[in-house]
Amino acid sequence: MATDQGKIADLVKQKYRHGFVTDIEQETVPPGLDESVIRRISAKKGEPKFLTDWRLKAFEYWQTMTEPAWAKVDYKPIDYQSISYYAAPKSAADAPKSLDEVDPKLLETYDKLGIPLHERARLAGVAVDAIFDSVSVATTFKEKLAEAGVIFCPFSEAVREHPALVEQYLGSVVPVRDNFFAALNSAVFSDGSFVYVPKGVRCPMELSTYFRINAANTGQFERTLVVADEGSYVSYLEGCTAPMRDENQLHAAVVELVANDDAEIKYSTVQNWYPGDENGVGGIYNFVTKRGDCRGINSKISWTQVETGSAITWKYPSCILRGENSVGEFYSVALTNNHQQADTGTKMIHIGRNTRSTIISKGISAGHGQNAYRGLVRFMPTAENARNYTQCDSLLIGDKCGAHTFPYIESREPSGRIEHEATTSKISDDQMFYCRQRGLSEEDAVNIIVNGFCRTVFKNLPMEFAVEAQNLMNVSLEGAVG
Amino acid sequence: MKLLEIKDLHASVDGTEILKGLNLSIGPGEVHAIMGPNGSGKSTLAQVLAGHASYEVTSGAIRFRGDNLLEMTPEARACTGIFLAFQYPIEIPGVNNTYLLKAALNAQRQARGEPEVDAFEFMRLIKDKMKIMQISEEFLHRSVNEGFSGGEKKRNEILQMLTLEPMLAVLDETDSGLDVDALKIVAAGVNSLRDAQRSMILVTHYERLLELVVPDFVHVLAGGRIIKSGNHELARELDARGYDWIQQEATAV
Amino acid sequence: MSTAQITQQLEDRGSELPGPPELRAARRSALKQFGELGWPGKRLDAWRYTDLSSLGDKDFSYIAPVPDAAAIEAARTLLDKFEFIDEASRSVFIDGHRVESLSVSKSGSELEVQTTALKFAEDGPESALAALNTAFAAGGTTVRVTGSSAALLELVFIGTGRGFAPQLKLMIELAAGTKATVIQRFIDLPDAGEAWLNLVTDIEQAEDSELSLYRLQTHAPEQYQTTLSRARLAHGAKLAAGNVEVGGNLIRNEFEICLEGNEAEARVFGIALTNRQQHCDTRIAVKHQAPHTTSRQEFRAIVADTSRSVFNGKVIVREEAQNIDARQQSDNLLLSPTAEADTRPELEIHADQVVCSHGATVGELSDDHLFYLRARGIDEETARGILIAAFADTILERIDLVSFREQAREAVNAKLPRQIEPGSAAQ
Repeated sequence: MATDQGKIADLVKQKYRHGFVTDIEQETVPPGLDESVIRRISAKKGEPKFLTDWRLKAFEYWQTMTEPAWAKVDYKPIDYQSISYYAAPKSAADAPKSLDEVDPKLLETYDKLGIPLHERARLAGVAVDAIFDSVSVATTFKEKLAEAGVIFCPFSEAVREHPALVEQYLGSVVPVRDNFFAALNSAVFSDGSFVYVPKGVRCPMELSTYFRINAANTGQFERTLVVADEGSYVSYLEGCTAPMRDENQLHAAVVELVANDDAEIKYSTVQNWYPGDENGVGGIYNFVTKRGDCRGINSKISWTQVETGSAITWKYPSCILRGENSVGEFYSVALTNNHQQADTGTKMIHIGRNTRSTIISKGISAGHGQNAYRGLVRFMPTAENARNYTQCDSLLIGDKCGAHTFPYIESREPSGRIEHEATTSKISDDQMFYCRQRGLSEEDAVNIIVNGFCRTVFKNLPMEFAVEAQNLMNVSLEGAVG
Repeated sequence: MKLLEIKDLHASVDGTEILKGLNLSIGPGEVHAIMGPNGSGKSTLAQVLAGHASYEVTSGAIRFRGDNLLEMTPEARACTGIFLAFQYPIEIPGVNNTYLLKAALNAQRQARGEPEVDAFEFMRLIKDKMKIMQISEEFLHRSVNEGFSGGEKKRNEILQMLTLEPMLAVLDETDSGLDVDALKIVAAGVNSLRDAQRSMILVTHYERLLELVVPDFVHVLAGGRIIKSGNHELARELDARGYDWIQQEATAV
Repeated sequence: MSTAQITQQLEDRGSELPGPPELRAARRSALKQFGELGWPGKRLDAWRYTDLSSLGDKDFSYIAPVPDAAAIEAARTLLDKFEFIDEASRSVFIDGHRVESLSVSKSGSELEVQTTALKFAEDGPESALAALNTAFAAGGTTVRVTGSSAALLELVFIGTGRGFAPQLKLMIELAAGTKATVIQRFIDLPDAGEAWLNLVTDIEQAEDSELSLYRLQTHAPEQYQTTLSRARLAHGAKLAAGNVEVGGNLIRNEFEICLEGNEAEARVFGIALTNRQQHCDTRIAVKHQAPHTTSRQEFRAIVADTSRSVFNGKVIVREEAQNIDARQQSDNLLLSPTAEADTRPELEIHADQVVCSHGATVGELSDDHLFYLRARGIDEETARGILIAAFADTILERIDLVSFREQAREAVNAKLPRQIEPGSAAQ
């Protein structure tokens, strides 16, 4: 896949060496999935035996499972044997040499989204030599993290450098058997991120900044593990507002978060994967399993997501509130336009006493989009005094789209309290008229009102992304009005 | 040239005709009061001028600054200088009050080919206006009209008016629900904008606003038409005697 | 009892069931369909919390015999204790058979009640239970309302509890502009053992008709009951359906309401009190198929001991159904650490000019309310009782017919102390 952090660091030390790109392995494993493919993937990555065995067990289990069919999404069956499970990084010969060679429409989108200039080249896939500057910036960050003792590296590097940590936590939050896509991911995952924050450490920067500058290209089967040890704090942001294309249609990532006593993990996602053309053809299928385990007392895990891309989104970032007084939060904005379909939500499982969860979900449907919120709030009998507050609001733009709300509320604890509210409506005519009477065009009025609708969620994003997220909403709604 | 010319306006809502041939002419720098009993069509007139989609104009013409107003979208009418202070200003959750006003100002500036203002310039611009309307800074951080009292909503409308500096301000029952103090503040704001070019239409049921913002002309709207016009004295007479005598006079004619 | 054995029952005794021979073929194919679908259980999302496979283990007799003199006498004694509504016509059924001698007809030109030919849905039953019902339907009772004055009818279903599982069909038809109130009571003879009643009700409301359909269920502790009510409302028709669930072992009520004409309105409300190991499951689906339609779903449950209450309310709005107003509210009070409440209010919206909202709460009595009463000198136990009764009363207030409302209230209040016995109350 993409170059390792290690390789870039070496580069920086050795100064730029022309043609280094050709040093990266070019070999690709042909499409198809069987045990030998898995062994090859594991071997290529130089993985320790425990991981190879783990993958194989997952594969064995996956073969006995059936794809889930209950989500409110419709898609053509996926042929798992036609996917290539190990792909080399793109050759630099094909990449644009500078921004001048990049599709001007793409650059226009970056502009509308407000993406910083030094980012645009990297996002457009311009060859490494053009982004040399951002590589040196990355080194400073890496030093800062090292000072604090924070481990932040690609998953494949973590497997080699910190195998004990990986073995301890991998699969402990999302077991291999959890669901079809998690099993598949466990067998063939390509790469992802590994974060470990030691006891008492407050990660010195948002791992968003660092990540954006040096992110490996997200693979189709990404695996991420974030562990916050006692008393630590980390804020992690994945994805970006720029539209991301990928010839791989199926994305089945797994993200596991572990928060020990008094630790807090803030995990934010901005996702704008290619949604397909106006007829919904060719977009990405995003089937993700994300779960956080609030293991320790007073621990806290907070999920914030802005989903505007993908042809199909199926994800339920969840929290298992195990530790006493632990807190789980889910803030989400999901937008479906044209023919996009989303079935997304969260699961808050309250096990410990005095646990609290907050769910704020804002769904926006436009065009022929279908947007469903599916959430589970479960109070186990041990969750004394648990509290949940849920607010799901849906906004319909146009009369050809659909907005659906499917909450599951299951309580077995008499002292617990659950409050759930949901509303579905279109943008009020009166609000539109008020804005237009003040001089705003119809399109601007919709954007302002939609942004207001999403504000509670945007407030939870790292600041630099809040602005981009707002722009992303505007760009994604283009053509939905009038 | 007259700023606003309304000729034989017929307008309906939900199939019921409310305005039945209304004529009105407003020159630059004039303040006109439109009074009348409830249901006479006063608010309808205000909404029709602003271009609310629920109201259907079945016949008649409205020219503003020489242009055919009926062909223009609500935002085009706003950018050409019409401002409506709503009788019931609506809430828009999550949308910052200042943000909306700045966006509106810039949209109108852009339409006029003027340069837009940034956040700092904008704050400078509205500082004095905020003083006039006795609006504190924390007010600006709130969402549009969310959690505002009746008086605060009306003061917010006038703040917007002062910022957008329209050529024709239409105030739809701005005085309803206001206590004496709030009324004084609103009147001060409105008066601060009076000049030789700018005109205003004050739609009101009661006379008390007109004591503070003295109109040049007073019209009585009843049965969907203007049945009597006069000056401030007419307003005082209405206050003393009610509307019945005018309607009797009109039918006798 | 296996499906094969059930099929054998139909073969052996099918001739006891009413209807012309042509109907036999329809019954057989319905039973075949039931066999294919199987007993509904957890693998179906609609039955996520209620597994009926335990019914499959029972040896019910799906064809109940005509009640004998002893049963009729026992029923008469039971009925004497009830306060029926004077002006109402009354039809009494024992194990699904209408008993003329116990029934009462009031000035009846507005109201026709006939136990006659069965009407099967043209497109065939869709669910397993509807299929089973068709297979063994013992008699169709049609309630037809015409005429200008409001009709009032009480239907009393008495079970002998002798291992029968009568499958009943009920048709309620309201002609244009008519009004009717239909009260259904479900009771059992003393010492009733296990039995199961599976009732399918089809309701057709013509333009501007108004139906209030109430249900008071005070079954004996070992009774099972499943109901499916399908209603179609034409332009301007209004339906108010109220359920009061107090007894039984396992109860499942399903409503499918189609608002087919403009301005149609459906209000469904209910209160369920469960204790011991009772299980009560209510499922409502309101389909807005025309513009300017309104629906309200309001459901409350008071859950004690190791009982379980389930609510699944769906609002489905089709694309053409603009300007609709739909609300759902599900509130649950848990009174013990082993009680469980599951609620799923769902919205499926394909139109945009809509006002749709729902709310759900699960919890215990408010500390503030308790404190308020205690600060006025009321002891804690009484205060709890008052608040719990008030919780139920909000729903009972929706019953228009005052006399019936009082009876429902009595039935609820009779059960309430057992809801809050020491040991089952929340700490």
